[in-house]
Amino acid sequence: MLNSSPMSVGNVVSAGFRLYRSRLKAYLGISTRATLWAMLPWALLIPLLVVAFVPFALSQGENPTSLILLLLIFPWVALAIYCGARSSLNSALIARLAYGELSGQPEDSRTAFRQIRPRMWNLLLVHIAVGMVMFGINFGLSIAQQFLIILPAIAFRDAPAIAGIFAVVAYLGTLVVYFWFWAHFYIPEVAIAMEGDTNAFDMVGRSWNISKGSANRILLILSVAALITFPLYGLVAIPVLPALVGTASLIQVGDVSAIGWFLIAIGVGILLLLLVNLFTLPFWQTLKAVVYYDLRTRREGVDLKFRNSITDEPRD
Amino acid sequence: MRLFNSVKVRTPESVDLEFTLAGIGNRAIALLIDYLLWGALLVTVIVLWGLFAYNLPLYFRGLANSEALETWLAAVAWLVYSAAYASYFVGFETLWQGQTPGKRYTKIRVICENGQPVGLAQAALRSLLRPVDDFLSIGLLLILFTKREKRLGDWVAGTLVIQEEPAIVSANVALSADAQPLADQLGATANISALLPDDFAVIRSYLQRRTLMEPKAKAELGLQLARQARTLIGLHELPFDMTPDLFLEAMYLAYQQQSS
Repeated sequence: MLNSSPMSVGNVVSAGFRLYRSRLKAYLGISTRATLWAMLPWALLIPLLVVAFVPFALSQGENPTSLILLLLIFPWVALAIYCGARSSLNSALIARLAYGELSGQPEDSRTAFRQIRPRMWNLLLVHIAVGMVMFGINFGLSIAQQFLIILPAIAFRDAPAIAGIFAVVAYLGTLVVYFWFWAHFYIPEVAIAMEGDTNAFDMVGRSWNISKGSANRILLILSVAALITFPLYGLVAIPVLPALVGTASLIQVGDVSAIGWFLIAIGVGILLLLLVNLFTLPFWQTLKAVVYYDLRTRREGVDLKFRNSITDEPRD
Repeated sequence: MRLFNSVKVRTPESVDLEFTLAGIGNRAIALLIDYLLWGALLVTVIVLWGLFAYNLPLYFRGLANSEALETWLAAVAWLVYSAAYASYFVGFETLWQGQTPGKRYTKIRVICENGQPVGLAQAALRSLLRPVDDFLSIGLLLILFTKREKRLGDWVAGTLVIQEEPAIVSANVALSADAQPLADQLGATANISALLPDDFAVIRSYLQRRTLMEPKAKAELGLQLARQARTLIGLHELPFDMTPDLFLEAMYLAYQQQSS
């Protein structure tokens, strides 16, 4: 499985898919667990809201709902955080297994899980860290964008067409810059899954360093991969979108019974999307592993090794 | 399992050849590029023909039968458009031995199942089934989930899409001036012949790729490789102080001198 030189964009995507297929069954099992963990807090929210609002409906006058909500909201948030961590642990497990195959040191799921189980909170932390960094970048870019739109609008007050062109360029430009940053922070999750107990924020820095000069390539890889998964989402849209539009138009003309059908269509749509996600998540994770391995090949030369027999340190 | 899907073909002369299949990534990129170019070509044809068809009747204004002229123009327009539509893939794949601009960019190629280059017939069949393959992404699913990555057009035409073998380019390694005398010295004192071609390839790759590496990681790797290389050629002490990179450069040169 060892590959001994930097890969082209197309080959990274193909390799990601080959890895995905090679252990599809195991990956789908892990992906199901990740999805279920992610869904659990939302599924619990429904009975929770019922518990909170039923007394309100019964008592009519007094209102204990806010008190009950307040009592329930903290445990729910704690549970949601824990579930998020469990979900990202399972996603990272897929990336770790794929990376193991790539580097010629495959593991079975159980061993790999034991290895990364202690890193669960670190994995969640790294997602939060990346989220914060991207939030900051987004904030800065939004301000820059507003300047780039407002200043030409004032300067070209008499020529709104030119100001419009400036606005479009500003929108697209900031979007590209945003994605460029995003590509730099794409892989810290795999880095933690592979390299362990380091500080989550250090890994964000490492992600930035190792992806220097490769952001455009990473973006292209992700675009091509998205192109491949796109038809699956199309399959969801084909039955669901017409159903939504159809029932919505019925509601508009006053057909109250259509509301139920509309909700059912939304429910079915969400379920189908979850199902598609369940199948695509492992692909995104194996792809992430390939991107990380390829970056390490380029930037750290991890593939450059002599024959096994002499990899011990020499006896001086 | 291997990272890239490969396939064995037997030529009419009973020679077995092994090819690496193009893979979904390369094919998707090639398709994206080709569809962009193809779209641009079709739009250009439509615009040019539109200008032509608009201006031509102006010269024949006095003519009695101008309605017939318009019908003819529409018919010819349809022909020209169809020709442009069909000729992109068929033309390129036939003339460029199984390549289109997109395939050339991604270094992939269409070949016959017996390893021969594709001809007009195969290119035409592949092109004919392209709309069917595009419908509901049937072609994509077939490439993803069949063993030889063949879409319907490939099945019917009996073709494969493979990666071109990377050309063996002469190594372009930047070396420092101090490396040559050291190499002579190494050649005289150390057992350079203990170095296998695979080991040499590792040293060469390192020297080629080191400039793009992260400085810290590069320093560590260079030191590690230099130490191991020293063990490989049976040296315990280095002749004199040098950087790991210089030592590896000298080994690179010494190996080349020894094998030439």
